[in-house]
Amino acid sequence: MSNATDREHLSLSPEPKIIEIGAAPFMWRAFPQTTQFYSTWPDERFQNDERGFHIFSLKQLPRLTNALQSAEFDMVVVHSSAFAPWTLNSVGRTLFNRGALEGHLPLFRRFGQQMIRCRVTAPVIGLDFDDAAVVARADLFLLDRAGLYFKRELPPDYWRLFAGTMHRSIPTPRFRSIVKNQKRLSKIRPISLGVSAAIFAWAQAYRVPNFEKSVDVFFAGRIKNSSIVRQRGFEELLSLKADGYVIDVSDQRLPIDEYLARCAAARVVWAPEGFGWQTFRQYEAALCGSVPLCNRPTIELHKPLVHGVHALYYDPEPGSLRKVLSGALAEREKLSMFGAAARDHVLAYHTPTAIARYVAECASVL
Amino acid sequence: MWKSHFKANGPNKMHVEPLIPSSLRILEIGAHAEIKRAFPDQTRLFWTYYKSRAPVPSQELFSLELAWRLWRDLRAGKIDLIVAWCSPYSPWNFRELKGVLRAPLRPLTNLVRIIGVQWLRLVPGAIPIVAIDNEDSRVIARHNLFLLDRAKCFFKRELPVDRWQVFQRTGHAGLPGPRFRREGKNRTLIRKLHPISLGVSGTEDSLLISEFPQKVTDIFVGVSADGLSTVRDQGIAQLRALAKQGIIVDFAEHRLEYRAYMQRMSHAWLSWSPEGLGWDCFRHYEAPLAWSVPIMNSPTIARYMPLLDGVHGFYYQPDDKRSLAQVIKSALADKVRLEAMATEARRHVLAFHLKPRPFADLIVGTALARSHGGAYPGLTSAVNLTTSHEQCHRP
Repeated sequence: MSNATDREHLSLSPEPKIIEIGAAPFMWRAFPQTTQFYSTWPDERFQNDERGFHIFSLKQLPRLTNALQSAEFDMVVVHSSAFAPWTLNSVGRTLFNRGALEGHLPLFRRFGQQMIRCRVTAPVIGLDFDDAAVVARADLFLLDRAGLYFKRELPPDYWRLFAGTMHRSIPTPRFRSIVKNQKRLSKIRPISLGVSAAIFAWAQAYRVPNFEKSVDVFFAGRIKNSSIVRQRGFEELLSLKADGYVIDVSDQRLPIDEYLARCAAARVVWAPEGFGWQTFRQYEAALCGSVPLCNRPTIELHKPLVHGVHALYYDPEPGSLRKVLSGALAEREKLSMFGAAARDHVLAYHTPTAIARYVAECASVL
Repeated sequence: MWKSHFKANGPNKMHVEPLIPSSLRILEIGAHAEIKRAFPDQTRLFWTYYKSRAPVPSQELFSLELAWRLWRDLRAGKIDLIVAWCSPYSPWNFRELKGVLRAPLRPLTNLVRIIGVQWLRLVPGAIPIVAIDNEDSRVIARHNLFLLDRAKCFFKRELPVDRWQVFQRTGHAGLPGPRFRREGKNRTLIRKLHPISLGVSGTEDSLLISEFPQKVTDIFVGVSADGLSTVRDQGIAQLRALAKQGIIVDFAEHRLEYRAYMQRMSHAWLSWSPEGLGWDCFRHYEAPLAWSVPIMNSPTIARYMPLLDGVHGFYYQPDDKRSLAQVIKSALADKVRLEAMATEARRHVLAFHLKPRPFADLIVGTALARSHGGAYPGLTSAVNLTTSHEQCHRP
């Protein structure tokens, strides 16, 4: 991890002035007064120029171009996008969309990120929250232009980010010895997925429930057509019922209040990986004072939930989940300590605001 | 936990009893020869690597004439099982085509040889195929996808924990999504995947040290750290700091002869074994053979008969700057435990990770059991038991 990551408590005063370009207003939510957000999401309909929330279009082009060249801003935060706007995949997703039936065809919107190819005065920061543990070919220009590139699914050996994209297979020692590639790698930082924006907004508006623990393990999420880790773990989890453990499972999408209430009522929330290793559930469980039970991390994390302190990790091989879980449930007092520690840790480092501040602080030294 | 595990697993003994039926005729094709080394009388080895030298003498270099003869043998039912080794590069990749340039006077011979494994696309469907991907990559390369389609089982070394990821950017344009995972055909393919370890060859040098040796150093570091992997770069910095704190770290600054390497490793209580190009690494298994306990970074793949944390080895988190040092210090605090762990780790490696056997037993046994709906009658019960190898976290 970088030296910059150790400087979490640097104060950002005054708040940084940011231009954000991408599909979701991540920095805008944390710094709404000082961020100009340009949405590239084809389905985006909300627009409020006064609040700095713009939809990228040909009409907005001069405004964004001027802003990028202006010295007024401290950083330009650009979200990755898995497909370049001129690829069939990207055009297809825009055309074959429910919005297209209503005459809504934002063909130019996905070009937003490409604007940093023009002159940009402030340092560029890349944000990649994608599930894939590689830097997509379409994002290599962003990595090259950026001063820092935050990657959610970051393999422990960073070089693997280029496997199958910039390099045909696993980057070889020759590839790794090229200075230009080493320079690219030095920009990489881990970033947490954190608590989802919707849950965090709800938790700010209402109080996260604090129930007495009546359930041993809770899980809500997709099993079918998701990760193998979930399918295998689910069978093992259900087999624990026979041992007298109280297991609460929901395979349907729950309303936020019910979801949080059921999380809070559980000692442990099972949070196995989905398409990527990080899931919102890991952090949301901790936010509710429950202990997340995850398969062992296969990626490098920023401020990770530590095994036996904030969370429980198990190996994906059969038998491990049962062993870890039954061991933990034998010491319930410890679990409540872990839950409290996890909640404090998530509130400090894994809320959307905390993550945005971490990005801004790292960027402030550029 | 480690004490109960030792009691449950009994004394230190090798696990080489299982035998396959003597009537079984195997064809091994590719650039490895583990099956041939394990069952020399029952196996024909077709060598397809562009360098013509194979590690065993009775190889047959793949050629058009051989392909034709073999095809006739297959049609006549003279082969019971085909074991195919995946190549990291397709025959039309320049790295493979180098083989053609190496022998400019015999271009066709070499060209045909590197196409060898692809020739399996033409063999009759009734003959069971087992494919082994022993490469560093976590995906199945596009040119090897036909093997996954044809094979009864597919052994993959760097098998992602979420197995669907083997199709990332090869069988699927990106990360396989729910629609791809829903398709019955793809689900059938996923069921064929099995983890396998890189293992270690049971040579005279690797098995040289037969008794628990005297320990002189705390940790052995025989890793090239010249920017090969960021995990190594981060770990080396922590180890250098540890050396200043009084921990005896034996850094092998230069490449050692294999025998000297094993001997130096055997004099250390612990051996640092971080991932290289892939997570699995020969050193994970060499260290136990040298009676040294391996310290590895946290696994990022599904493993076959894994070295268990606190039983056969130790794991640390590479994203925690203090983790490696903490694990080393706490491990060195109890030397009696380390000796017991080294003994148990060696027993475990001999039982499950040694090449050519029991490695070859697993491959052949799983393939036969798969083609006969669970358990193959001609196999010893031990092989059929070994094929349920994923039940590895025994209480």
